[in-house]
Amino acid sequence: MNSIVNEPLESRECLRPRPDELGSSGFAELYAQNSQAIYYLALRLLSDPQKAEDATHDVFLKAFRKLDQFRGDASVRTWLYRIAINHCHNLKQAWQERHLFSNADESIWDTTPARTDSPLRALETKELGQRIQKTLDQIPSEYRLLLLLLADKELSYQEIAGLTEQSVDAVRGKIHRARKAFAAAFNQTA
Amino acid sequence: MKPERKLSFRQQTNEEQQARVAETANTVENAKEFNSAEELLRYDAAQTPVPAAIAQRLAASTQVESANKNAGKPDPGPWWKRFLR
Repeated sequence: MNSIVNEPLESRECLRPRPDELGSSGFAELYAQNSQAIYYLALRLLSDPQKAEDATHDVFLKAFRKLDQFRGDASVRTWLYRIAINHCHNLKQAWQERHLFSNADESIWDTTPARTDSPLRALETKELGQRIQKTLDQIPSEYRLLLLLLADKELSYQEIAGLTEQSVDAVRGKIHRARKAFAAAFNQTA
Repeated sequence: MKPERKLSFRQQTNEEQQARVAETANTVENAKEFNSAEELLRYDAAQTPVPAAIAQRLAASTQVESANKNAGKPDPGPWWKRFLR
């Protein structure tokens, strides 16, 4: 199987338009190029299609309001991801405070045996999305975010490190553990 | 009559078995393998359409924003800031 995963992240081409290219006329293009990535991130972080829809709308509206503040020292995709991550984080925090939600012991995934070199098998059904959501909901939130960002081919390790506020080496180490946690949880949901 | 009945029952069972085998073969054909979590997520993302309603809502919201800007109205800010004013 020709795997795109083997492609080094550093070699991936990033969207880097200049700030002056982002006039209001370019906003539609910005939405067209990035809405899929932002909606998917919101959907899998919030576990709710309606909330993800609202969040995507709010993220792009914030971006529209702050277009003049975009300095161009990061890619547009990274900038939008930062807004989206903060927005989803705030929504989840507010929701957790209201519902006194507590995560299960997250360290369990570091000791759960799971092979990361064996393929993940899934049937091509409409239930796949539900299974992925269930898996993501079970693993630590940090791992969830790292894997979702890693899944975007346009992001480099450097950008993922910037978005998650840690070093590239830390990201590499955590991604290994995140893959392991995901594989263990995914196999349990079968 | 009895043997015929048995035969038809056997035939039915065979048909059921064949249907089950075909279904299993179909399922195996449809099964997908992913080398990593991110590959699976990438596939899932590609299968997840963005609701068209977002673009419609966003178009309406940005129109209001632009109209307010053109009319010289200041950004009202978040609701809680307006509430504390």
